[in-house]
Amino acid sequence: MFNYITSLGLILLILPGGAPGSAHVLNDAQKQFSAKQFQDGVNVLRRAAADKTASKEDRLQASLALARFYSNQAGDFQRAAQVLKRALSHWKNAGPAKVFFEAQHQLAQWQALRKKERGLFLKIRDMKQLTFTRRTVGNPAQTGKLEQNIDTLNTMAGSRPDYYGRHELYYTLGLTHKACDQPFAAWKAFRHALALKPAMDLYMPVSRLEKETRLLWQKKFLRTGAGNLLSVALLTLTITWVLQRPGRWFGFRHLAAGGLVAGVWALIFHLWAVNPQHLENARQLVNSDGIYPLPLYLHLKSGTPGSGPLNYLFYYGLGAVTGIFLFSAATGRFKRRLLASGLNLAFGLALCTSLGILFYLKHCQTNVEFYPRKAGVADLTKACLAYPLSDPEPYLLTNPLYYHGLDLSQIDDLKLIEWLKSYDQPAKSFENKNDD
Amino acid sequence: MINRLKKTGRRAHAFAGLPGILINMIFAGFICTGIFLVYTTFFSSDNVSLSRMRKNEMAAYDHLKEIFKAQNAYYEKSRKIVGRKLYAVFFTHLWKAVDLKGRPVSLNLIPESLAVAVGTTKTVDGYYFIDVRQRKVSGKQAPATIDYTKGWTVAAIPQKPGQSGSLVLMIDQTGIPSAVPVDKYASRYPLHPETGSWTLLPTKEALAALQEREAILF
Repeated sequence: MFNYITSLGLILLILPGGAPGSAHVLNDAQKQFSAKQFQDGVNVLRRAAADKTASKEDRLQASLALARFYSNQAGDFQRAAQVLKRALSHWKNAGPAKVFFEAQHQLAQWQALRKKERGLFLKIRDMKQLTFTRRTVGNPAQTGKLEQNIDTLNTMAGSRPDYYGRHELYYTLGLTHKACDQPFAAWKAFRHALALKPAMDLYMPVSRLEKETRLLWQKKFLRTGAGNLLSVALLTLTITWVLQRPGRWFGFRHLAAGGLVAGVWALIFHLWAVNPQHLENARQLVNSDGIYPLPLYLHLKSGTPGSGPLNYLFYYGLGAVTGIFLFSAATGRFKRRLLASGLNLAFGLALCTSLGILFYLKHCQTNVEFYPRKAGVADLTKACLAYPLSDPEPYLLTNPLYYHGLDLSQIDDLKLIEWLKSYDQPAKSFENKNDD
Repeated sequence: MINRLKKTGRRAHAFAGLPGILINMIFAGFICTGIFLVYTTFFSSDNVSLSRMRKNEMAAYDHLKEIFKAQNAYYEKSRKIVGRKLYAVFFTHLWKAVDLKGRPVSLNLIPESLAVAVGTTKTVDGYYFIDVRQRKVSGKQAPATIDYTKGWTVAAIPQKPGQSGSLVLMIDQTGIPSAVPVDKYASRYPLHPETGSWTLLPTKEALAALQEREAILF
């Protein structure tokens, strides 16, 4: 909310009160900026600045608004100055006007500011440059320099609250934290930069980096959380096991029950994940959201390229089933049955959650995707796991008939093209057979 | 009759403890696996560190050796699969080959995870692997194209040079891997790696020594 009010205030500041002809243009732009449609607002002002049917005054008014937007909202002072310089160059033969003096004054102000802070600007630029050089792990000089830059940038942020390029300072701080594998601190710095200049994306890819670092620290947090949860579950199981000693009364029928539970898991897994016979239209289903560029290379059956994590899923599931069974065995002689049931449920949830998160973080992420056929719990059984790969080679190399007729212009390996062409004839008969 | 009952009783008594022993063993196995999983979660994560990078390089060395063994096994089976004796032109075929009619043939000479690690988006232990088609001879001579009836070459390239690995490794039919620091790598694979900036690595100790040398250079 605070950010919204700040950005609205900034927008009201940058749009000058001008001639009545330009008022509607400025209003349109203001509406777009308020809705955070910055590029659309910029386009409105650009069109107005280039509109030859409008008066020179109106055009300069639009250019001034655009330049102020670039400086106050995007933090791109260089572009702001360029816009104003270009607009003022067209003004040469026109008479003096209020907007002309306003624009000239603004330009002079920015140029003076940039000249005054040039030393600091160059220092920050050098620090930014360092984050783009290839980082070599184990190079203490490089790591030391980056860490030193973090300290310097933090000191600057504290000591120079008046610096006009604070957004760039925070952006550089974010990049440096990111280079030092500190995603949480990097995310905070990028957020700070965005709060200072909400349209900074038109200047630097700060939103993308903010999302990227957010995902990184969330993964780190999830990994730590799941690890801790699993540790607690293991400790609880061990303590309950040692106190209750179920090995003393455990019989063959209990063992058989355990075997049955594991068997049921294997059966469910086989029917659902290994043998997906209900997925005739898989390509359409998997790429319905259009996230994968075409041509799409994917397989859905177990044993196809990329399906390796499926084996891990089986073992993780078996682990969860075994853990729940062991814990229920440990609480088997509890006199308070309700308490035992509650504990079993809590343990099962903790174990499944931690194992599920760890499975996803270790083996899936972008390698395996889960696709429900329709939104709704009832259709979960008809969902599927897909194994999309960005590189087509494993698919082409293991099933050339299935992928016959694809555009091979993207493939550099001439040997692969030659090999694929050698299957032209079998592929044609395979296709004819399928068509029949 | 009494003796028979006594015998049966004794037998029942002898086996009565078996489920308890079994379930305790399953419990111990479960806890050990769980501890291992927790350990890998906290201590072997994909965080960038020098030790992680060194481990990745060692793992890439092992994967190349695995490919070497698999190539030899493939060579022996190749007549049945493709009708003539040759090494796998594509190392992915060491996992799943294709016969002359275009049908997939599961070989499982290397694991699936290694077979599909062919690009930066799909890696194994921070490295991806490529089939090398030409080897640089020397000077201005034209590069030698690999004849798969006689040899083959596979290279391991770090996904993030300098972070997931600092060496580019290569192996061929000789079975001796060689490596070059990623800074000196120029997408060229010499026919005689011992003569250039590449280092032959007959053992893992040689790789460890190279890693040490690289660390000193910083």
